[in-house]
Amino acid sequence: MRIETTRSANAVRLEHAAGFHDSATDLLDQLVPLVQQTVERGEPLAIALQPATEEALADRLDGRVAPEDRLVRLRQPDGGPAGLSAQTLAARWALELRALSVAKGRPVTVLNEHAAALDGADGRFWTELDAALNVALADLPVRITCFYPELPLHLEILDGARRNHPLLLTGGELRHNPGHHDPRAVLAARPAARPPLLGPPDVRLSFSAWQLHEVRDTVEQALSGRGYERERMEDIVLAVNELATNAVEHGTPEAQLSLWTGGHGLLCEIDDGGTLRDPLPGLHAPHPAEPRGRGVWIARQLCDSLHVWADGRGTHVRVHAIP
Amino acid sequence: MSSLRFLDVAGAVGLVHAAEEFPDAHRLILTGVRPRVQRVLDRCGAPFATQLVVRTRDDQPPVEQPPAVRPPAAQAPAAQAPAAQAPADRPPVERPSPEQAPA
Repeated sequence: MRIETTRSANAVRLEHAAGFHDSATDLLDQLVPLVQQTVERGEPLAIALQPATEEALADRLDGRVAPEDRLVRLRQPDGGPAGLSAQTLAARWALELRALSVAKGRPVTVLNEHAAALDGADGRFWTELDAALNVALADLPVRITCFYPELPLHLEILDGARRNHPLLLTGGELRHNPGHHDPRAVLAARPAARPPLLGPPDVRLSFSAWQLHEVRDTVEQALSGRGYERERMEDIVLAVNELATNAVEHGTPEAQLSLWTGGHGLLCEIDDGGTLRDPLPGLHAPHPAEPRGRGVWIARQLCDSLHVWADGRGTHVRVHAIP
Repeated sequence: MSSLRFLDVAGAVGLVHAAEEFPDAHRLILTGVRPRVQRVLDRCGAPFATQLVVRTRDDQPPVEQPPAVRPPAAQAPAAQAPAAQAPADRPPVERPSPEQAPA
């Protein structure tokens, strides 16, 4: 399992822009110059475009979007048994883009396109994704432009895009967005959605700060004999231990651990009755001098999915970890 | 550290920061560290802390056997012999106790 280094000093910081289009042709008209400028600068290009858009873009650019050695297709979200998690997707992209910028030694241009299939019930996925990208990519040399239709199905998508992006692409130029808000303020007004219900858990345990060893033992027992290597099992136990520690340290003196096991891998939820102070914990590597705040960040990188949300009953974390 | 089977992130960060507080010429040396504990230390910045030395159980220097000379029964009990015979400038060798040995 790869872990990001926490020590970096980049001259170029995140440039996060939104572009709006009224048709597929309009989208291509905006994408083509961005790709051409990136290729001219000799910088790597990462894309999260719909297949039809990528194909049409390649047609416009004489068969290839960019040289293969400088083109990366970012991992697309897959809901899996844990459900879609925009914050998990942002954390994965941060890992990929950090590796790409280090490998190439250049800033990375990212082109991201709205996909209606990920809208969910109300389009909140995109608000969460853009807010999470603002946090997760904050110290990376990345220029990311997110393209949205001018008339999406959910108004929330447009509202979220206007609040989350510090820059707007209009007429081929980036302009300051006066409607931009801090990502945590955006999510305070529109919190991350709760993932789908999972049904009764296979194991449930209430624990306090003095029973964290029971949490670790319970998780280890649930993983035993299910195809997890020893090292992988220890990493997952570490991740759950960090989340459980946070629940009883920052939430309520007693919290609940729920486990679902089966062919889908381990699904784990930790619920406490406390208030979620930071709606996007663990998305940004803490400064090395910071004594706290590293546990969730490490847990995010050890698990296949980690989704944090809050509701009237408290704070909840769902983790998915496959062998 | 060989009896430590689990270390959480806060504990690992505490050790790394403690070592970084040391003067440059000083070292905090952790010996007999289990791989599971070492991975947590690595993820918490241990490789970047020059004042912190992490020695895994495999890195242990070879255990030096005491000379096969039976001390006079009247002079010293057998249990004290190795420490008493070690030169003053040689670091003591850690020996895992039977309950700390890997299964």
